[in-house]
Amino acid sequence: MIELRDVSAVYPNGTLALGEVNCKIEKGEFVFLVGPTGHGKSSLLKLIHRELIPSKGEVRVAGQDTKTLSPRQVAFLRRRVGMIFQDFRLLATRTLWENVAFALRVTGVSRRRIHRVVPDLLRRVHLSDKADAFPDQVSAGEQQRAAIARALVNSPAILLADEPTGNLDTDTGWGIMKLLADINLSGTTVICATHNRGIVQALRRRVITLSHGKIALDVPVGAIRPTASIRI
Amino acid sequence: MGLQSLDFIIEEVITNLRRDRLISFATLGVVAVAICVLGGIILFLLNLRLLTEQVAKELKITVYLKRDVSRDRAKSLETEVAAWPRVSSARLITKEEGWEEFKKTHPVGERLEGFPIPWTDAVEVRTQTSADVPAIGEKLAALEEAKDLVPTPEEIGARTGVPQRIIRVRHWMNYGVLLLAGLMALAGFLIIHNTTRLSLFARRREISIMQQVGATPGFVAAPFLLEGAVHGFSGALLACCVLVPVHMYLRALAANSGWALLKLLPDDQLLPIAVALIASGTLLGVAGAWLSLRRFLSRDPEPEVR
Ligand SMILES: Nc1ncnc2c1ncn2[C@@H]1O[C@H](COP(=O)(O)OP(=O)(O)OP(=O)(O)O)[C@@H](O)[C@H]1O
Ligand SMILES: [Mg+2]
Repeated sequence: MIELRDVSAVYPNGTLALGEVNCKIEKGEFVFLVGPTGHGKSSLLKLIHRELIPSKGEVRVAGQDTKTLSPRQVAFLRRRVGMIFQDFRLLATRTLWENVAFALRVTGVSRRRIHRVVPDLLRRVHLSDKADAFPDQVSAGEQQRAAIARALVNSPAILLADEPTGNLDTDTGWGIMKLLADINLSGTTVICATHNRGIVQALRRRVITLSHGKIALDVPVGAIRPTASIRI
Repeated sequence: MGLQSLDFIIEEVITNLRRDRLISFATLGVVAVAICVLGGIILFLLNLRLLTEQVAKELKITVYLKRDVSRDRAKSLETEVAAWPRVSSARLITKEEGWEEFKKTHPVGERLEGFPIPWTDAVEVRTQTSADVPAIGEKLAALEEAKDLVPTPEEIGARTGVPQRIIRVRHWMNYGVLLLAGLMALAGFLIIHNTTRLSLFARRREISIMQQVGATPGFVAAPFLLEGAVHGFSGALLACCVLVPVHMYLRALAANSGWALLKLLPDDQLLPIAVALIASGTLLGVAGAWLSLRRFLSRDPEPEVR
């Protein structure tokens, strides 16, 4: 499903974010991406979402080399690859409802379908009562949930979540994680960058650890035991 | 793109036109002025052509034939010359007709009654446009049968009372004025180009999010192209709302001036011109917007906007 071969990523200002990364993620997998801040988690997700093009090596998503995609093909790739951004990227001039609907509108979905899909998604992230609020009128956690709803709007085959629990209290964080786990159960490949050790240890999924832009550890499913104190 | 895409695009355009009202009006104004000057120039040129064509109708070149040219040869010459390119008509004027004509205006002829007619056959030639007069004149003068008396265009002009200057002015005017018209079109193009650029910059975050959630480049571009078209169209429409009434008024003035030669284009010919101006304004708008978009959308991968 996703394959990185000897991938290096350099930002336009010359910062080397990733160096010679190799990894393969199969369809339906749930992968945690962990590592210290600034060590390349977001960059790796951006490579898959094609916000970054590798300076060396090759990123293949669903069999396609992301480097060779035309702008139009990139658009279609992104409909199948939902991204929950670390900084949300909500539009301040639109309500949460409109922000979620926006992702459907710009892909040419009919109003009728939008009116069916959006309320349902908002309910799933517990935002039904905030639907008409603007991003700056709600808490950071609520903004984050709106961003999650937007990423799910096209029922993507791959879901990239960059710190989806970063601004949430433990309970809500767990709620979101359960949501991601559910989505994963329905066949969606989920890659989740997080600093939340508790969740990583409890969920017992594959864990890729990034250190200085390289994969330091790649621990397969079930290898980490849940600690006694944390249970789902 | 389906109907729902159109729905989104139109809504985007309306929101954006509303939000940037001042810029919209400024753009529209500049386009209107540019199209107004452009249209004014085109109307001026068309009217000038009309005028010179009317003048050309008054222009004729008369070639007197040598005395020994037979009547048959003169007749065949008439058909021959009439078939020349750029010649609209050629008419044989026999020496008898010519003499009668001369006598009407010059009573001195009466005293020559009884003598052999002191006149020769002639061919009266009219060209398709006034611009053809010199070339055709030279060609006629080169005829074996012609007396070397073919008058120059200036002489013809002087004789028919036509200001030759109009004809000559038109030649350089065609170039100078067309250049000005081109500059005006360029001005319209550039202002829309720049407005789109500003608009793209103001909305770069929104566009970046559109792209990140999977909007195709065409979908991102469509509202801006439509906006350019709206600016170009309404600017041109405004210009036509000024040009057409002004022209109609001037035509009426000219018609009442009493100078028969001064006829402006009839009102019903203004419609196709207005339609052409509005179409070019719209096209200009789309082209200007497209140039900005092409540059904006060709960045790959698109830069992050926070
Ligand atoms: N847009 C950018 N331009 C230049 N350098 C960048 C950019 N984004 C990230 N970097 C740099 O790339 C490296 C990897 O950053 P990245 O965002 O991938 O880290 P991260 O693991 O996601 O960190 P965090 O846990 O804080 O989100 C860092 O050194 C960072 O400074
Ligand atoms: Mg990050």
